[in-house]
Amino acid sequence: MNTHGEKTARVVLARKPDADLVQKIVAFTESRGCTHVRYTIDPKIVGGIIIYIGDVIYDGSVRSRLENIKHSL
Amino acid sequence: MDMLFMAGLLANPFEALGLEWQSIVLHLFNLVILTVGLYFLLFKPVKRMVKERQAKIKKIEKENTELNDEVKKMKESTEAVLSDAKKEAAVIHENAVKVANQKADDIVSSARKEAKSLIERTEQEMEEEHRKLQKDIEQQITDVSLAVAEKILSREVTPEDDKKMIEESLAQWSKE
Repeated sequence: MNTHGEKTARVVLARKPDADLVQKIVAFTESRGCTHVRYTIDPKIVGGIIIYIGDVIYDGSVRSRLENIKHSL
Repeated sequence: MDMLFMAGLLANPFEALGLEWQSIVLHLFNLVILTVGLYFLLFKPVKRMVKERQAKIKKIEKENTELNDEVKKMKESTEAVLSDAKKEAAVIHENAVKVANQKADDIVSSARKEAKSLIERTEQEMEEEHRKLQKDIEQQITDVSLAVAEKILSREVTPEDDKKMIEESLAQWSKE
């Protein structure tokens, strides 16, 4: 949250999203009270998406799924 | 002649034999003196000597008896002491054997316990090592598998697949 009370979501993706996907991401972040979205491209997550909203993390990345598999093994 | 002699002998015997009474008295006196002299000079000392010898023999016999008794007592005492010593020696030997056997048993038991403990410890360590090794191998396999999977996925995941995955995630989070 910035000084004007606006909430920003940080979105991490493996590749650049198309317009349709951006719209869906914005719709989701707005439903969680965010007015701004900041994108980061990180190929290390392999695929999927990670969204940071305040203290909440939505992690749907391929990397995190692989890590889960690794821990479960 | 015989008749005359016999008659003379009967009438005066001393005279018939050519003896005088003074001579006979003198001889008798001599005999008495000799007898008394012999009694005092020979018989009495010999008698005393025999008595002394008998007393000495009795004393020696008594001493011998006492000595024999003492020897017998000593022998009995020695035998008793010897018997006691033998018994004591037997008891000491028996105890020593018992103690030695006990010690031997203790040593063997201790060695067995130690060996068992050592074997158990070694087995435990081997098992632990084996488990650790197995875990390391599993971890390495997992790491390698995931690294391979990651490589493959980074190559194989298409933009369409990626978009679909993202849309599914967003849809799921929207339901929560």
